[in-house]
Amino acid sequence: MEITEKEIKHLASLSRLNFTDEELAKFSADFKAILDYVNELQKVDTSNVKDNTIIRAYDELREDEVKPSLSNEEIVGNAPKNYNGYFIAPTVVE
Amino acid sequence: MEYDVVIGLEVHSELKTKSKVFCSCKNEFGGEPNTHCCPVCIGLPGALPIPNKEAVKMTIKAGLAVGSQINDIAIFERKNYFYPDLAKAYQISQAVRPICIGGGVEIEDKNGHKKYIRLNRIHLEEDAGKLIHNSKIGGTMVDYNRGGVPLIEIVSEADMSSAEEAVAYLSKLRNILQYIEVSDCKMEQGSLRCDVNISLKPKGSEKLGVRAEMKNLNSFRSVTRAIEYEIKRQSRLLDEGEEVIQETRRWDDARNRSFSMRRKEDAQDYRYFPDPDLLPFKIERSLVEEVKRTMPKLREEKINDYVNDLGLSEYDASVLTNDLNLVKYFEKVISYFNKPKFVCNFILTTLLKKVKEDEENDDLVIPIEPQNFANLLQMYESGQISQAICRELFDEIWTTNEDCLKIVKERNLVQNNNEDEIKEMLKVLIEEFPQSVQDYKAGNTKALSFFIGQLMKKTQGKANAQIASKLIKEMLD
Amino acid sequence: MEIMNETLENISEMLDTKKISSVELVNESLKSIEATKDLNILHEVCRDNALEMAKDIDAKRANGEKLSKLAGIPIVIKDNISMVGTYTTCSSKFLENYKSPYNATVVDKLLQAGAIIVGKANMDEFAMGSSSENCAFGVVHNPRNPEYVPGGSSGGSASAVAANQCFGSLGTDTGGSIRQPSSFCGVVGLKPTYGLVSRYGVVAFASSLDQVGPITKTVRDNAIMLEAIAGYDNNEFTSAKHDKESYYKDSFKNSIKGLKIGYAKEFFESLNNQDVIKSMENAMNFFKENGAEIVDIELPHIKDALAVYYVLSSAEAASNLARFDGIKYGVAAKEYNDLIDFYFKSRTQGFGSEVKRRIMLGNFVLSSGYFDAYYNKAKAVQNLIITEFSNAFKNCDVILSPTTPTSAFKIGEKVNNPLEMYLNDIFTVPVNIATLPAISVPCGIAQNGMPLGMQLIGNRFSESTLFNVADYYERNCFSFREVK
Repeated sequence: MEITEKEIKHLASLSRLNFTDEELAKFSADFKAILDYVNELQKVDTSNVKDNTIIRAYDELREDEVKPSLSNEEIVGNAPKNYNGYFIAPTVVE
Repeated sequence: MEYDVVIGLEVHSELKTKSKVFCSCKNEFGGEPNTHCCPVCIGLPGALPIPNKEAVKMTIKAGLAVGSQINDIAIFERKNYFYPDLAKAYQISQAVRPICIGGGVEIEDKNGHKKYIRLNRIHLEEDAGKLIHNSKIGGTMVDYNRGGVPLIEIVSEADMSSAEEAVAYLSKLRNILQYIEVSDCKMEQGSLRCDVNISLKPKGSEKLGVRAEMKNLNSFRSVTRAIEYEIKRQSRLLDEGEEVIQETRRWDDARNRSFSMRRKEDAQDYRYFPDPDLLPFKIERSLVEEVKRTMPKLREEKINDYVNDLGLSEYDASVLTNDLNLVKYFEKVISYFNKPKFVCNFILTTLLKKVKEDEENDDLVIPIEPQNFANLLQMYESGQISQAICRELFDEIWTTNEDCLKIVKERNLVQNNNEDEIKEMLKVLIEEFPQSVQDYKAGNTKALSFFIGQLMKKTQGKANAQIASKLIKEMLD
Repeated sequence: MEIMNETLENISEMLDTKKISSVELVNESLKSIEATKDLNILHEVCRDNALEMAKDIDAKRANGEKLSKLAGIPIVIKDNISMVGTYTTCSSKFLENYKSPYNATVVDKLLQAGAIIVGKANMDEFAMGSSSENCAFGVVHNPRNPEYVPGGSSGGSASAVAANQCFGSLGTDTGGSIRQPSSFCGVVGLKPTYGLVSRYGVVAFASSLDQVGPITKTVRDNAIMLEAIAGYDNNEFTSAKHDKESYYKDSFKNSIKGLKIGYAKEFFESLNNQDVIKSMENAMNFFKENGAEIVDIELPHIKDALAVYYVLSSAEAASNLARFDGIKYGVAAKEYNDLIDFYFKSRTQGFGSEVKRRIMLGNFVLSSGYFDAYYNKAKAVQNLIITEFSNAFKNCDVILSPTTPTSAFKIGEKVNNPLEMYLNDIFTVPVNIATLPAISVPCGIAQNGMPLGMQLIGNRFSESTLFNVADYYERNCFSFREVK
């Protein structure tokens, strides 16, 4: 299957990843080989597959009980930027 | 050209469980930033979600209250997009198999015309964190206390055709959610939020127009204004032969207009798929039956109770029960002062008028403690204070919520019911204003009110007005 | 350091009879770690904490407290398992400075059993890889021959055991990441039934396939470790409600008479490596000679398992790894134009190329227009595979296959061909797809001097059967002691 450069760029954007042109070329080639392999799946006849997903009962859900949270220091302790107990993200423009 | 307006609402309502929907952190409004947080709700690597039973139950309850069908198997899915308020960069939500399907609510317009608004679904999902812009530090502050709070999304069909209907639908939903006690529905705190989808089509046309989605509507007033604005905007575009673009628009209440929002994700591809951490789960019929049995009284039943047991009129009961906050307040007040009709009258006249002075007070916040309010009414009803003093005090404690018993005592506002004393004071007034006496004798009964007014001025409103008017009549006749 | 050659089982006995103290043992382990540090096995050594805990265990033992079999024994865990006080980097630049504020359930369980965690092992970044070459902190070398890869992604965990740095380790296995490195390093690795061991606190690669498991020198050692870490965890919705088993006490029957070993031609027809073919023939003969029966079974769709795996695991990974956005932890770009640019730069700087490749593949199969053709199709084929295995187990107790198509390859040999690298997992992947348990045990030496591994696959929750067969084979045919 062919995947266009435009599609690859769209995927990179969905993935929030940058690639150099060189990386992109190498990547497109790898991607094509992987997809050719994965496309073998289309040949498998799955018309008889009944859904047999594992299903949990409602009873196995969690009781509505409050348990202690972590301290604010533990929560924001790993943040590259924090201020007064908040995480800091780049400015969000709505 | 004339257009038909087609409106659908997506209403988000926070459930009032004790803990969050996928972890055991406290579900509480506010709090110091990032203190109701754990590995699960801030999306630390390796953390895993477990659904909250009560949140599922409340969703079922909401569904039953609006006649939805409850699916026997429900699936949580991931809605993937990057945004700083979304800790995991996906929201756990429901797409193909929500907990509730279908249902609907009946609304009524001013003229009593009824209309049925169909629901598409109600699903359970998690709320996002809060973003606060801070230009001083050149960034946006992120607080995940709200992240993971259980949220139901109630999606209507596009069955509404005016702002009035949308507001009627929203307030009906709010009323139901409050009555079944699954949500506080406080618009100001964001526990009830609403997105509106709106499109226009030439009058009578079958073909649906292109719709815009309006976000950030956090009061009834902004819902009305935003819809009216959008109808104007779209009809102007269509009149001029331009295209309406399918987009999300953000309502700016201060500027009274909406703005096109920057899109969250290219082409809005949310890549929904079943959350592998959350297996599908089964909702037994027995559970649905159990929820049915614990369903609290809805508004219609309350009205009946008030009419039959408390002796309120049908009309009064219906106004009083329109909002559960008001119902709860009323019931608390009468637990201290058991004169339901008297209390109801005061609430419907004086108190509601006061509430509505603040257009933004959609949540009917009543700042006076019920007991304080009961004390005030009791003093008035028993003649301890005059009506004038009662009104004044009501206005005062609305803003201060100070103890009215204490104020009456300290300022000595107790009503003067002593006939002899009142007679003495009236005598003085009769001598002071001979012209008014003559007016009265000439047949001008307004002169009587003049004397009462003067008396009140003299006594700072403390004289018993009823006694005084009886006396002045006797004295002048 | 001779003592480090011992098995976990023997060491446990020696500690119990006070022939050695835990502090002495930890010191030996630390010496061994130091002596083999060129292999780049561990990312972090927990020296002070380990000695402290060893002291504590020795004191308890002196007090006559009843201790578990793992008490006082040096253990290594893979660096994608969260442990308070250590870095949990997943061998990714993104998490180079990340310290988890909470413990994974398996860590709590190990600590409760008194195990001494001496270090955290390097791996393929976020467990994506089959050679431990995708490690942001350098390639891991195979202790049997440093020119060779140790396999992956739990290459550090398998090497730590093979290099006698510890007596057992924890790895994680999404498509073979415990069994393949165990095979390449000549040690025993178990991938338990999905849901038997908690995933809570283990950094997710593909949530529906990931499973934590032990890597040890012997099968009995493995049973001791599994017993300590298995069990229902109410922090994990996919955790299995399976009754607790005493694997060490109850598994070993010292007999395989009447056992039915499934032979699926699909596992063998593509083999072209003579070493592997020979080792399989030997194993089959051994089983027959010792009273087991070989039965033919059919697994026609296991050939599609690898494709299913790449679709499902990448889809889940793309979503699981989206949280690495530079705001809450990890790499944050210093210079950027706006929020979106910040996301792009932080993630691009933090992730290695294999991780990027999988995220891209995952977003491809999830994106609108492709979801049905890939994700849903893969789910349907997964269902076929599950059904085939469950039918097969109606006629046999365990299924035999090689763990890998070849023995270990040289460092750098396959880095430029991702697909060829992926094909390494062709025998291990079906097990994850079918949520089954499987064990890899050493079964010979290849021409290149590197060990070979044999895989035994069991039905769901049949770990004790696997232990019995593997132990019997190990004690009577081939064991880690023959691997140099």
